[in-house]
Amino acid sequence: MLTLTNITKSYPGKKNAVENVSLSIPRGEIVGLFGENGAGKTTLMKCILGLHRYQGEITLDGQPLDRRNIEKLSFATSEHTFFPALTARDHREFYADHFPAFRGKRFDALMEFFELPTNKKIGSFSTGQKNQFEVILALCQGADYILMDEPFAGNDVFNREDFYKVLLGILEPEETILLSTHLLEEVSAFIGRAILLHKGKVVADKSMLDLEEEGKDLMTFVKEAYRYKADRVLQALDKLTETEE
Amino acid sequence: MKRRIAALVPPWTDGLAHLQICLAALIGPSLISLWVYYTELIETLNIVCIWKDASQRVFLPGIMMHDFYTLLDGIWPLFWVPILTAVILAVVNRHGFHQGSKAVYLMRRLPDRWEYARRCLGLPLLTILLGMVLTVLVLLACWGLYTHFTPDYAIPPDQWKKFWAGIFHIVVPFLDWRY
Repeated sequence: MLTLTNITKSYPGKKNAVENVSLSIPRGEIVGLFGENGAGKTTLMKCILGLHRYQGEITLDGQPLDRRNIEKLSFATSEHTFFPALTARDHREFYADHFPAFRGKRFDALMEFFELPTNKKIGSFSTGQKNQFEVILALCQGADYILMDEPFAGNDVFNREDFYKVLLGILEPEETILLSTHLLEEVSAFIGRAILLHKGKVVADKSMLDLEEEGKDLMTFVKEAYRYKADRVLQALDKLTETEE
Repeated sequence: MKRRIAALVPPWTDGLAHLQICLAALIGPSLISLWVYYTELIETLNIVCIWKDASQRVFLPGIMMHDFYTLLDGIWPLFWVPILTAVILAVVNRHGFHQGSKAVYLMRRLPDRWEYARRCLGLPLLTILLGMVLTVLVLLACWGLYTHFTPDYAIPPDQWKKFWAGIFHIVVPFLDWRY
């Protein structure tokens, strides 16, 4: 269980990027983390990974997250964390050296599935391929918690579709995904729980099962949580038109 | 050996190539230092000595040899070369983890907490350490040459006191604490 208690992250001279966030994420869930740009999704993930200093407490199975258990978390981000000047084969070696639970077979299988070259420098890959490789590394590190921050930014829809399917197919019961994305509708069929952040705070946290029972889809739920004004666009257009006349 | 060096540089770096750069920054200035010092020493000897029978230097009566540390003035800058090389390498290494991706995120969450620091600073620190050892060796060699060419009676007193005062002046140049 990954437990966040009262996590607050502030930058000097700015409002809190993350404020008093408390969450529990049990193993085996696929959790969607949603929010507008600047809502604090990336910051929260970086706090979990220890890349940012924060106030509050984050524990994994009751133990504070540190070097002894950090390998149980992996991270895929659209910023990418691979070494552009190395090949996939080099990465395989590096990960196997540093992460004892590295899943070599899964790595080979995913590389083959996505038809990624193993002996070409990652820096020469297309953006889509880079994203695929980034996610492959995160999935193969041997982590129990896989954090993904906009991992498919730049991939085409078929590519993403493939990935969701592969993801569902290969994940083992203990593996947990925390997926941050704007592609609400695409992932709604794959996630089991949705957490909504707004201005650094958790404004909603619901399982997809509960949503189903309430007869709501993810988009409706998100719009309600954000108090989205459906007529906002029409009003704006009206005003614009008036000005023109 | 190759693997050990590879563990001290970023994963994409040719460790042996970096090692060659460091060795060049260590050995080159050391050899040049010795040559510059030797030239300075001989020039000084030519000032304070006369030639006897065109084969033997003899100190003029009442004339002392120049202080050891004053003959080193021309070589101090060369000792900074390994340090400068190390600093540049460290900056380049660190920059590499931010270029083209944020590989620094991976490095900072590796189970081995020293991996990132080792790959950025390993070889640079080793270079600085070896540079310090070489500096001592070069200075000892210089002292050896100094005493070899200077008879005991011509060596001014308190050479080491003056030497340390000279070193202090180099480390803290704005304070002139020379002996």
